[in-house]
Amino acid sequence: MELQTTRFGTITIEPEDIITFPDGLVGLSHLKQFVLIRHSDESPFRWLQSVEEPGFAMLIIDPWFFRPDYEVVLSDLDVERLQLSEESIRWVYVTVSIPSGKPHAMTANLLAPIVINGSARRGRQVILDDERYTTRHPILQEMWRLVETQQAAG
Amino acid sequence: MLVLTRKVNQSIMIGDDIEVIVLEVRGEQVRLGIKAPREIAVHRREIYEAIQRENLMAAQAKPEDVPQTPAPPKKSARSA
Repeated sequence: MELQTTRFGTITIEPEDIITFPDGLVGLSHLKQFVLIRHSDESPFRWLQSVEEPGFAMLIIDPWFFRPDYEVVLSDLDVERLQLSEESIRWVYVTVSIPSGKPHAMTANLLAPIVINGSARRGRQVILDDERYTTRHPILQEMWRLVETQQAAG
Repeated sequence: MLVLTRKVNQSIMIGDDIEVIVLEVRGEQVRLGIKAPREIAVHRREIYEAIQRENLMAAQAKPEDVPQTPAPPKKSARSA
């Protein structure tokens, strides 16, 4: 099937590419169907493109790319809504905000990751109860921290 | 807006399933307990709003603003 998008033009998707978020996104509960689009090969960035709104696509990133110690603890409700089982393929992304004209100041929302059950094609934005994380983690600072840690480790 | 006065350990019912209990009042801070069915999401309003704001910000990103790699290349860090 064909999907009209504002950023990427008309793209061809398979019905099984569609990921259903039964509760939508936080504050955007009306958006329930998305597809994942790679930004480019090798890039840690993805786009979560709405199937319902051609103009809505969130920039997301693999959090472990810059924060290897990142932890996501799911509640029973999260597991239930995602229909997760032991065998499910799990993907986790976090949203990325880029201040206008300042890509180096981009931040990631580590407090509310997007968790996807790749096997059941279901997704959910979960809200973590974890004081280590905020909605605006500077990604570059995290990466520098990582580089320092790696250098310290030799 | 309905306004009710409650004392510590008193509560209000919202429908049949949701109970909000005043647990403690200390100066400007009020501790509330909320009993609600699991499927009802309960969040601090400012956190909910902050997440909504970040979602909208992430949806304003343009493909041309996205760096190829967001930081110093990992390979050179490893070899250092």
